[in-house]
Amino acid sequence: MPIIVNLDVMMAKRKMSLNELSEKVDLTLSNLSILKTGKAKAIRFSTLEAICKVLDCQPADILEYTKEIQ
Amino acid sequence: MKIKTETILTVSKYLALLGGVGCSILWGSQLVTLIASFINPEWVKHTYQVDLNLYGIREHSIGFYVCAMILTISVSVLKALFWYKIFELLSELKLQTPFSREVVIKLERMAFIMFSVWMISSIFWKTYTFYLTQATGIQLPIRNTDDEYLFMAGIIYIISQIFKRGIELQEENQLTV
Repeated sequence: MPIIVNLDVMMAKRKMSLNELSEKVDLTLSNLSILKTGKAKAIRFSTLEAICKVLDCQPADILEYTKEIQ
Repeated sequence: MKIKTETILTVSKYLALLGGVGCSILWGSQLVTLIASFINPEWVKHTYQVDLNLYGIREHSIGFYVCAMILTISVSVLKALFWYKIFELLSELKLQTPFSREVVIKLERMAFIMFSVWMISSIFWKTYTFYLTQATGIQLPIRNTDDEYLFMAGIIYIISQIFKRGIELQEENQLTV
């Protein structure tokens, strides 16, 4: 998929573990893992808002668009 | 409402099983008649649920008679198989998560069975009667009532494609965080 999720990068910058983020954004570990590994097909605005609030960042810091190599 | 739907599903499941058993009895008896007719040709007159002049064909040529019986039995076998597939489908269908790959595969197989029934009872039968008339002069009535199976196959195939799309939507929903 041309949309890359940089959640792990932001988590590393904020020195936050997946468990801690999961508790703070009120998402299950499995759902966060789906998002982190790029398996997610869609993300709700409410989820994005919660992650941005906890990690103190912009949506663009988490999501990135790259052209697909054919 | 939920209980009502489950009750309808259970009743339909056993009705499908009943249909399967009925069709199995039909093709079983036709097969027995075919085997018994080799010993005593008079048995041909008692072929179950076949209103054709089979005795006349048997008297004329055993090859044409066997061919007619094979076509008739294969249609009955496929109809029985179709009923058993409905029974299997209704047994495996879960109302909480109705869209699954198993259901799609079963629906596609059911569509293929219905298409095969139409192929045998329409195209093969018409070819057979044409050659029978050419070779022996015996004319058999052409069955036009079996065209509904082609329509049914089409409808079931469309339903299977809708279920396929349902799986995609279900997966998309599960992968939305």
